[in-house]
Amino acid sequence: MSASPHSTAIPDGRRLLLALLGSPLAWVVHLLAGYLVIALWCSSGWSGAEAVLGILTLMCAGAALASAILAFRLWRQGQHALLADAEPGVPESWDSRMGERGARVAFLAVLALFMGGLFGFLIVLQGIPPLYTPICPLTSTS
Amino acid sequence: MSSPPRTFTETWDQPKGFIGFLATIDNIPIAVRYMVTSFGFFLAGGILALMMRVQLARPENGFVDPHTYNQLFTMHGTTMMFLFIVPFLEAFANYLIPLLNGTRDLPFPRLTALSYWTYLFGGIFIYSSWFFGLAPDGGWFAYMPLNDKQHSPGLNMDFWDIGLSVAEVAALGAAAEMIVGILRMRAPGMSINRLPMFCWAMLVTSVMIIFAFTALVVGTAMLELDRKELTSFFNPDHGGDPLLWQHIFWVFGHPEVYIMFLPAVGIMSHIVQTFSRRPLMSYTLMVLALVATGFLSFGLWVHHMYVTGISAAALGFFAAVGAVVAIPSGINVFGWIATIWAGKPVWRTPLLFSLAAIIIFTIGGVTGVMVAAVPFDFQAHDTYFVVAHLHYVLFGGSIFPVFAALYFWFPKFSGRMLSERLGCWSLGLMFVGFNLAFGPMHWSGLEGMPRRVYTYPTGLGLEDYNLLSTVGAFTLALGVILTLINFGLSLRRRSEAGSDPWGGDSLEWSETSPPVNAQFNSIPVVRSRHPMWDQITLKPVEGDDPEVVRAARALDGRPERWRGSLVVGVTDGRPLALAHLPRRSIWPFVLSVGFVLLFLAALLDNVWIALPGLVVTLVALGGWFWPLDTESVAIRETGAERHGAGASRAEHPSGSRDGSAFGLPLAVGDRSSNGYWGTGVLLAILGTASATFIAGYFYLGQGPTPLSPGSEPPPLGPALWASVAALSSLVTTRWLTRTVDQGRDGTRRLALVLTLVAQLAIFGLSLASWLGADLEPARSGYASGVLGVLGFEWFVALGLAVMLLAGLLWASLAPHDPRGRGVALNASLVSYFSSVNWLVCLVTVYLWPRVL
Repeated sequence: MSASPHSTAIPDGRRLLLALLGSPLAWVVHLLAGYLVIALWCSSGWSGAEAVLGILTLMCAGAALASAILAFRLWRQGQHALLADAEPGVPESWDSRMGERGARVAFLAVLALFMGGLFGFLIVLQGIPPLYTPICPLTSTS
Repeated sequence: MSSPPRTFTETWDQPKGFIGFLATIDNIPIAVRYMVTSFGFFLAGGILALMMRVQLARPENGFVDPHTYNQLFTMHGTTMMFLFIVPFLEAFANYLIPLLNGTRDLPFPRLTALSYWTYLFGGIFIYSSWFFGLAPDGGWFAYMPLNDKQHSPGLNMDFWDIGLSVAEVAALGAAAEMIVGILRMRAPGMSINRLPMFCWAMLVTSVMIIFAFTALVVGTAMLELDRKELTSFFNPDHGGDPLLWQHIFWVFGHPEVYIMFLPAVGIMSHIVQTFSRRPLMSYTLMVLALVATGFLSFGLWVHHMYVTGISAAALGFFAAVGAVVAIPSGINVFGWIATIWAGKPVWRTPLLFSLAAIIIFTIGGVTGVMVAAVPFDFQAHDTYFVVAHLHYVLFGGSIFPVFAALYFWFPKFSGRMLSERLGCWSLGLMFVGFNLAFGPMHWSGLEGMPRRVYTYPTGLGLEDYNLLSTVGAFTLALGVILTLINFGLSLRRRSEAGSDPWGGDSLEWSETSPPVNAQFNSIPVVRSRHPMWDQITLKPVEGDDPEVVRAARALDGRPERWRGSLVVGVTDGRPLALAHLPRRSIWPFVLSVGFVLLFLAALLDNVWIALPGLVVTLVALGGWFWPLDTESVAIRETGAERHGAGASRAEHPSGSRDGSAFGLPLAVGDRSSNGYWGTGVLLAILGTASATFIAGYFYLGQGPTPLSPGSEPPPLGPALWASVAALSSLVTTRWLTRTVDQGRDGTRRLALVLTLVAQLAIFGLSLASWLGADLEPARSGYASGVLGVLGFEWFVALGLAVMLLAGLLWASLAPHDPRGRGVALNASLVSYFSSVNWLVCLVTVYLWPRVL
């Protein structure tokens, strides 16, 4: 949906859900795929795991960033709906009468925005150790 | 079966007498039993801890022998982790969630009762082992191979494993209840951004329980199969791997820490804002912290496995998560401090307990960041430093908040006030005692004292630390006893609390203390995040949305002949439908007895116990799913049968249906029903279980490169035919959902039959494939992995067959009854899962080893 800056349309639930879950899911993919790359790639005797991990980090961080951008756009829509509800006129939806419409969307969008920041930061943080620690062959503590 | 009641009060009355006691399913009496039982386990676990401290008070002490000491620490950890903290917090939630949400009960009252009874019997089951001298002795984490049959031949760990399984069922049931209850059953107007913090906390916690406890259920099933020497998941002699157990256990175990902490975040947020006389600072950030912690907690399990030889680069991943999880925890702590700082705090006992919790949890959090650092953990692993850290986290994150909550909500539960003076003394003793007990352990750990040792030699410099810890433990116990005395005195003195003794902001304070059976006789209308502070009235007023007004009026002292409450939209709190709630039932109790008999049979390998257990279970399930009289009344009164299915809320924007006496449809037989949402939660459980089995299969490293001689994958032919059946099932299931959506009751039966045939074909053909393979799970880790993946699909397919048969029965005997449509719709969800899961099995077990 490409709403204009002054649109008072309420974003649909699926976009909100995508914004909310996009960044944590990107992190889950980064963690599990990274762990698997280290475990399987190395045990198979292949080289180049560093490059694979680097690409993985870039892709997942990009996904987290995209969900944060989506969240920001949804937040702006919520804010516009909030302003529109404050104006006199016929309310557009049931909960605008209860003073809730924009606030509810803005709340979820801000939540998604913060999630994007936190999990994006974590993905970048997780991408750092492979730059400085040997990946293959597997090291042992013994 | 008794006739349906005639008045609103009679409808919500609790059953009387002994049978009535067993048949009660109301959230409040069940929650009170839950609390009393779990607090009893807390005291038992505390006594075990004191015995350990007596033993360790002096070097080379002989108070208990090494074997008894093993039993003490195993049962102490098991009790506190599984039988106290989580059940106690769930009990709190059982009591409070409907009150906070402004609704009359939880969505599945019979599940509430089942959870309690299975929990009670599971706890008794584990504790009964003391009477036979067979108390579990292999640690609350049951590491392998220490706990396999060869190294732990007695029944001790079988008691642990099987008893725990019973308790896990209870936790999963309670979690499903909470998720659907919090998302769907709230007061009109309570949109997602107006949810009370405890509801947010329990929502996140319950979702975590679904994923974490399911992994544990699978792990303990694997463990028991290994101990029965039927499989070799963890046996390295046969290609299994003991570290697989650690992975599965800690995928559960680390989130478990946060499962115990997050409800406390909710509790303390309520207390801090009430006694600071202002709203919580940054509600949005506090919710963010809850949700983010929920996710992050699943990326921390390797923290417990730093010294198992995992690659340094991989350890870096998990160390990063360990550092970042401090951010949401920090948000919580600073949020509370800022709220107190900006408010006008009233220093009453609940707030003081919360402050103590913040201090202790912060110390535990700091040492948590220390042990999350890989080099430090290499030194501190398995020392008393870790014992100190985990107790600071658990006392600060759970025990002190639980006491804060008891002091805060005891007036609501009992209608009586507690003594402030005794409360402060109790807090003082607990705070000093706790720090005295666990503070010195940091130093004894850094001095090198290992965990789980029954004694230590003289002259290592550990004597003073240990003596201080013992003195502290007894001081802590004295503080707990003072609170118990406080409860007793309060109940005798009859100091009336009134409905709102603290000036709280949330809806529970609008009800009497204790609440009457039919809480919220009038459904409140919510227009604020703090309705008791911001709203002049909880009744509908001019300017409210007409739908809200209509819903509130429809439920004002009604329905009279059946238990009904409101179903609302997940995010917007918009009134959608009415939910029928069962009134009383003996079947949850009977079913839990059946479960216990089956688990006892598993413990003793006794078919003569298994048979009655199976009969009792089947009878109870039959009784459970037998149509309820009150639901028939509800269907008649709301005209649900006449209007057929597929009449979604969107098609009735005015919220009314001709013939409904309430202006709202009944949530039955379509996607608005609680049963449909509950089935959705079931799918999450099934998906997690399947993923755990598949992860285990791959972890054993046997998929692509079979290690054991003769580990050939099962034959492909039958599996391909089963896949044809799975694809057919997807088509027939889609048809089944369409018949329900379009209200074509006549063709529903055929769709059900075809889906049933397809599912039975999946079961039969995959079983034939397994039988045609030369695989011995008892002697092969690979075969165990295959059996796990396939066996789970069989379990799902057979369970689904029972659901489809029930749907067929409905379609044949009462084709126009919406309950039958509901069964078919729920079965269709599981059918989609079963079919897709089989296709995943095909790739995992059959194609992967052949391609790679």
